[in-house]
Amino acid sequence: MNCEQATEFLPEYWDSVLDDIPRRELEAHLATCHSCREEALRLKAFWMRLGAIPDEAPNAAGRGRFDALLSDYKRAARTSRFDAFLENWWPRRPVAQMACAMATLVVGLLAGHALTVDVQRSGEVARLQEEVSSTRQLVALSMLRQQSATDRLKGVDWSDQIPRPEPQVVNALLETVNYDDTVDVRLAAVDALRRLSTRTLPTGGTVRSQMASALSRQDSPLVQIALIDALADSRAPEGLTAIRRVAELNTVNPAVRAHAQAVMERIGARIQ
Amino acid sequence: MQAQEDHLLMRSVRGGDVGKLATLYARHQRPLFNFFLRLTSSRPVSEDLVHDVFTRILKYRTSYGDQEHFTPWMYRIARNAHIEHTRRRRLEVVADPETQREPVSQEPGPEQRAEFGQSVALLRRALAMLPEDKREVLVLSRFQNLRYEEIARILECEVGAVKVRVYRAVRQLEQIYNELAGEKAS
Repeated sequence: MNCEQATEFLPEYWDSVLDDIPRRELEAHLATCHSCREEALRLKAFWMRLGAIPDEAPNAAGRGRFDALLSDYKRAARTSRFDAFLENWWPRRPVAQMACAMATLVVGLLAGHALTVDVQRSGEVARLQEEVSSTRQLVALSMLRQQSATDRLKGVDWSDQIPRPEPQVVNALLETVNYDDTVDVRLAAVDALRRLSTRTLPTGGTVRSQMASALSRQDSPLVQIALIDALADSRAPEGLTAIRRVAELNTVNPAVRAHAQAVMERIGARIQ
Repeated sequence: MQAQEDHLLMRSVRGGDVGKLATLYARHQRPLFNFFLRLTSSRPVSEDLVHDVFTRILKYRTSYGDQEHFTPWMYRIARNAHIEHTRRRRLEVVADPETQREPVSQEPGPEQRAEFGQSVALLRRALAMLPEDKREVLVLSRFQNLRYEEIARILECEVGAVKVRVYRAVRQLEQIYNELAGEKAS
């Protein structure tokens, strides 16, 4: 068992629910690897400390709301037969049909008028939102170029708050995935790029095609798994091709290969 | 044992005996409420989301399959309800003073109590700062008494991926907690 495989078993180990064989392998690894042992002990203490967050009792009014919901549902079930009668009756009356059509026309005109007024008002809101978005882009770009990994992580978080990031921000995230020294920052960048996977880049191609290329460059199994998940979500041909390549390569980490194969099976793309 | 009972109750609900849902509500209201509370940090929002989940269970009761397990099925609905809620209120900062209160421990003295309360408040704050997907997998694994196979079913991914995500989440949470604790100390 190596350091990265060990991480997969730690939470179960802390809860004492890990099966015998992986537990023995993990303990053998922890006995020889000082850094993993230290991290496992430190995180176990933190994991246990999380148990201090107590459960809270929900408000008693919730039960009343639920009982009302059930009563309404039962009443609605009883009245549905009457509704069915109304539905059958309605279309056969030409006068009623005419009245309904007139009423719909009037409501449509009124709604159209109201919506036009709303659009004018929403123009100012849109301008304000644009300014906030532009400030966020600047902050995200600046943070992504910092020396400290924590700052770069914050930069990724900022970029995630921008509804439609500029191409510079998207490129900075792709560069982070490809070249950042810290695995956590790369993982965060992959997560942030997931929602942008269909975006077209000014240099040609899409974000997901760049993520597909990034998969072959990665040396960290954690990042590879995150990229596989992201590409699988997008279901795009270039992503599936990249995952299939990983699933067939004997040189990649066995856990990553197994994950790629499982993903391909799940989405029904057979490995030739 | 309870899982099997839940399954039979939900099958009855599916068959039209909707009154049986009251038993499922009594069993799952509290864990579901705490699930949402740890995700949203807001008691009123969590109450609403619990109600939303049971409304959806009633609405989609016929989609419950014979091979389903009630708890993961319910959490999948809960997860969708939370995702929709987050989409609606993405730009809104939820600051509910009711959730800011610190729990009172009955045993320790005043100093220990204050220290304990601060530590829990800091843990809550750190949890609230964790990215949503990581907070979700961490809450499911640490607080909801769910097995990794069940969590994988809820999140629709591999068991191995769940384990890796839990590890990543706890590591990031510890980092956030230490940063907050450092800020508080300085």
